[in-house]
Amino acid sequence: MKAKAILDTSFWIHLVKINLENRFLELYDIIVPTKVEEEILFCNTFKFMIYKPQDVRVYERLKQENKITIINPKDISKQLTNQISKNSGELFAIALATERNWIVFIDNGRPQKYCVENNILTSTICDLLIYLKEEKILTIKEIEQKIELIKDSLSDKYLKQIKEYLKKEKI
Amino acid sequence: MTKKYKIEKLSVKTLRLKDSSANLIYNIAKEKNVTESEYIRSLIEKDIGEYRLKKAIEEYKNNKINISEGAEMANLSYREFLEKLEDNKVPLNMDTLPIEYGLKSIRKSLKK
Repeated sequence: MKAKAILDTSFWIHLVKINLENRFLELYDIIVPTKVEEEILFCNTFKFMIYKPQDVRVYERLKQENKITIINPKDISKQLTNQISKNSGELFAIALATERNWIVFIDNGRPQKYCVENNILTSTICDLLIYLKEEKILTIKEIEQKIELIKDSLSDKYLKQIKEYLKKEKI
Repeated sequence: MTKKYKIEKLSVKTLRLKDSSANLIYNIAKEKNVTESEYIRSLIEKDIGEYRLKKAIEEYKNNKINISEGAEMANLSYREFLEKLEDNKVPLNMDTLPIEYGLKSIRKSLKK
């Protein structure tokens, strides 16, 4: 049985942008709370839509193939609602991760900080790339190409950290 | 997913304009085939939208809010705000999570 991973919207968008959803599915069963799904599929409520983002199309396909499961948390603690914005996808994703002790993938600073402070398993798209390199699932070149696709979302400081980490692992 | 369209109530505001501006508004509205009210309203809404977005981006940059809060502040969807951050070359605040913690979490979740 595969491990379960809860995804937040920002992570999902990046995952599809770097074309890694199939690799991810080899590692994890994807779990998404309803609120995250609403954020991902929000453009479907538009009256006029010029184009449907690729990640939306991929999401709909995988959901149809039963590769994405919707699970919602039973309860959301006050401590969590005090720190994470109400009615946001990440709030539900973290609440579920707390309840089930599953990993939550989030590419967004403040919710990550909450996870670290509360000992909740959490990771980002870049950590996943480093992990795939460590496990020799992806080559350094492949990782560099994928990082290039999301580099506008990464700060110079973070990009430098990742590059140093990859270099260090090379030795 | 059900489609929701919001219909907002309109309030009345009176304002004084320079004659030259009033004439221009009349001409532009005529050219755009809209009423003067519609044209003025679109100008105001555009500026308010830009102001809200600028403010939300600034707050996000300063790590005061997260993406969801930024989206709410800018009156955009999560995805739209994420795209605006990218367009404005604002990186996501991902570096608050130490790489080691993220890697450890993946290994633990996969029991490696």
